[in-house]
Amino acid sequence: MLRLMEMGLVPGASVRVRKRAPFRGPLELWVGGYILSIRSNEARLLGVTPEPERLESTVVVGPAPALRDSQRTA
Amino acid sequence: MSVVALAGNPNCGKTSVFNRLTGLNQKVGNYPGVTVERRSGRAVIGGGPVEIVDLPGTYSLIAQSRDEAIAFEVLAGLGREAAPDLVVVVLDATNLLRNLYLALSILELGRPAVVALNMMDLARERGVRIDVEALSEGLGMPVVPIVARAGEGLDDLRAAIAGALLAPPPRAQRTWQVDPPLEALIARVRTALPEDHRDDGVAVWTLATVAANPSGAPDPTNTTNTTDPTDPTDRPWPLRLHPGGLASAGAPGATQGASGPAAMPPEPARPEGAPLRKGAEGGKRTNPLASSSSALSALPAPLAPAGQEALRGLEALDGVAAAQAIIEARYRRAREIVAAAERSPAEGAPTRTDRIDAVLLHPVAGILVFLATMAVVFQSIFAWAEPLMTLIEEGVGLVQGGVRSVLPEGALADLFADGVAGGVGNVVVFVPQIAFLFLFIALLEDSGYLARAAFISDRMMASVGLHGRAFVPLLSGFACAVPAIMASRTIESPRDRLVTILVTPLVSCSARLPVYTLLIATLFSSEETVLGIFSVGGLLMLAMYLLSFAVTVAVAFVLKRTLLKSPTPPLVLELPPYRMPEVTSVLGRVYDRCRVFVKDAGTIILACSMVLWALLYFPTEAPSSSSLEAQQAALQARTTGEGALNGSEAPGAPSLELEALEKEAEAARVQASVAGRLGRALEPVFEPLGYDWKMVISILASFAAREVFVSTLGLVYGIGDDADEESLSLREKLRREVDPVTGKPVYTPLVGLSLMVFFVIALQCMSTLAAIRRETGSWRWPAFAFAYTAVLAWLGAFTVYQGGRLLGFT
Repeated sequence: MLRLMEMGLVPGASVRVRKRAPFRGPLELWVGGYILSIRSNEARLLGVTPEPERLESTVVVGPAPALRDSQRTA
Repeated sequence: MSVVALAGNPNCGKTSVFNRLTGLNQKVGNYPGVTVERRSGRAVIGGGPVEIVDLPGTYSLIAQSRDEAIAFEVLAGLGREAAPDLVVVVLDATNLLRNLYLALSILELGRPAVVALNMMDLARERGVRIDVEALSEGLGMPVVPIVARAGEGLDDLRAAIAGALLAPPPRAQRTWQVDPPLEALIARVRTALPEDHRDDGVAVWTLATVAANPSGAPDPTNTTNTTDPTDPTDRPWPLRLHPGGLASAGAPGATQGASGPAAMPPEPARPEGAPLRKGAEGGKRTNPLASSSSALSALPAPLAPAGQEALRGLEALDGVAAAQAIIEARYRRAREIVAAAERSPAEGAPTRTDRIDAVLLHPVAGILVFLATMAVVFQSIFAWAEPLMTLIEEGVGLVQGGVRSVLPEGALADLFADGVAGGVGNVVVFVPQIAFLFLFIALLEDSGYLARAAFISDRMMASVGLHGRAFVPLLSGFACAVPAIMASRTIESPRDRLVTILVTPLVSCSARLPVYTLLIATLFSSEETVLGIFSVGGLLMLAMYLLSFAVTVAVAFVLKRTLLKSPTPPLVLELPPYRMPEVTSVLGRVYDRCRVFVKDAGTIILACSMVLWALLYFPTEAPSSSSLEAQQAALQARTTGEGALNGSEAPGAPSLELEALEKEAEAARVQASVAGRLGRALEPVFEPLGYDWKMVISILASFAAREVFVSTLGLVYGIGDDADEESLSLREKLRREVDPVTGKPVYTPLVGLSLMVFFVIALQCMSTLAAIRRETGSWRWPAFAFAYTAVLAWLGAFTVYQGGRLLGFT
């Protein structure tokens, strides 16, 4: 999910979940300066460490599909 | 004349800058061969004329969509036009980090540039302080702070542009680095570039684009076909590589690299930077390379050898990890620049956008606001446009009357009145709906709500496999498919856009209403009720809308899984801060849309109108020129006992009789016309649906617009073309029509149902086809849409009619 990285979800970035669309719809994230909306199955691809004292999480691993991609067999 | 390109993120205020610089001196077209809009305009800067090109707003240049590919090609001078003399990179000061990511990728391409730091007012409001000097130093380019909406700083920007055009700033260098193996690969890709583009920035782009498009690889989340025969334009973007092109046998990258960039295997020994000839690695992989080279032609042609070099290098390195490494390195650099140039307060008090979102994205209130907004949009095209459309139709009527009073009676007058004026009317009549729909879309988009609407409706659309952005076009389809298809432009993914365009004609538009109304009123008693409260007519109407909805969803579902197979597009949607829309920008876009429609789709509609008119008009040997002949023909018709002619019952009213005679003659003429003969010829095709040739003529004629079905029936039955769905005489005629062989009524409730089902599904509308042609850039898709709906409509009507007969209905 290179697109997510290009939108600023790179390792080290801080994200916070702001809201959720009705009926288990997409998430609304605060990504260092702006609001980004992604679906939960895409959000699941992000590895994060929670930082409860700041009510934020930090992206630690690059988005996961990269890993899956490289594990593929031809 | 110097060319200045404007580049930047979506929502960075680029369009405001463009409007400020060019005034109203703009033109909109498409980039050659693709359906990406090209906006350009003239401005006078530094005493000379300058052409300003507004590039598509993108978050990245790595080509994963057409917009990005186009932006890159223009910036690198690889498109069909020469590279711009200067690039103005527009940055949103409130969101510096992500904007700098794109700015760095643009500057790396080495064009002379000026950076416009926009939205300084909002940044100040939020307490963000930006050191312009430090920013300029970090980027190596002049930076001008501006507030484009208020026109603040625009003179400084013009001065900076003029200065940079006279004395270009030194070209920017890449200011970040990746791991040595990847750096080595970048160097190798660079040497494979054509001489006039042998440039580090272009090499990085080529590598990142090849690495980011690893399709052909069995990505678990992506089951897309590897080749892309269904691409709506002739150019296969995004890049599709041959299966196994990346992960071909023996490539270490295929099995390794699971631990990320840090574990990238070292390059096989090869002198750094040494040019690598095609096939230098021996016969090991000649096959995959040969086949992937055809896929590589999707890169701008001059970059194909470099793309191949990148592909070869990526067999040893992991492709996605390589792209990630480049993105991360660029973000690291962007963060350094931000750290040096920006002082922002710790996130504090909720902003205005937070407060508005608390309501508009509230689980309950948000949905209510969403429904209300959509109701207003829908109402505007459904009802508010109506008076204007009536006015246009009346105007067309006046013109037709005028033409007839000037020209002598005959084919020429008919041609100009009915063919030309009528055809122009067929085009102009759509303008109010298009204007209203785009007025609302522009307002919603500029205020920031359109993205929220997509956010709210995404859950529902995703269940069909579409993006939240497909909601507004599909809803608009209930009023009219033409503006709805044009509105699909807001959908980014080309395949999803195409699916939306292809199913929009199935949404029951308002032109189908007269057809439903006539058939229901004619064939079903209005007194009959179900459960004592629901009238049969109302329930049938509801059933038609439900059927339309079901077919739309089903076809979208099937298309997304077969022909246009693609995963549900990821939702990566920025929710921009709320802003007050700018009047000039909104009205400008409404005007653009209307103009594009009249110019592009209008010409097709006009041509089709005239062809249809001719089909219904020629040959003219049927008696219509002289009233004497008409009378004779009518007398003949009467003596053969066909039809119950009212005129014969009132011999004392010769003028009435004459009018009736003329209408009868008109009916004879239509029946003898090319379309009439076509109707007879096609009768066997429609017979299993229960239709006779008179209905077939009307179906053919309704291709001009569905409601024409009703007036053509009026013509064919000699009631005159002013018949409408409310006209009692037409209903009477239809009820009385009997089959000449069996003597049974032709119009039974079952036939009516079969006709309605046919009209729910069939794409009986040349304007819609013209709109699809306009938006997809070829005749392939309108032809496909017409064919698939025709087959489905036939099958649907067949099932209803034959099924009904089997169940014992007549």
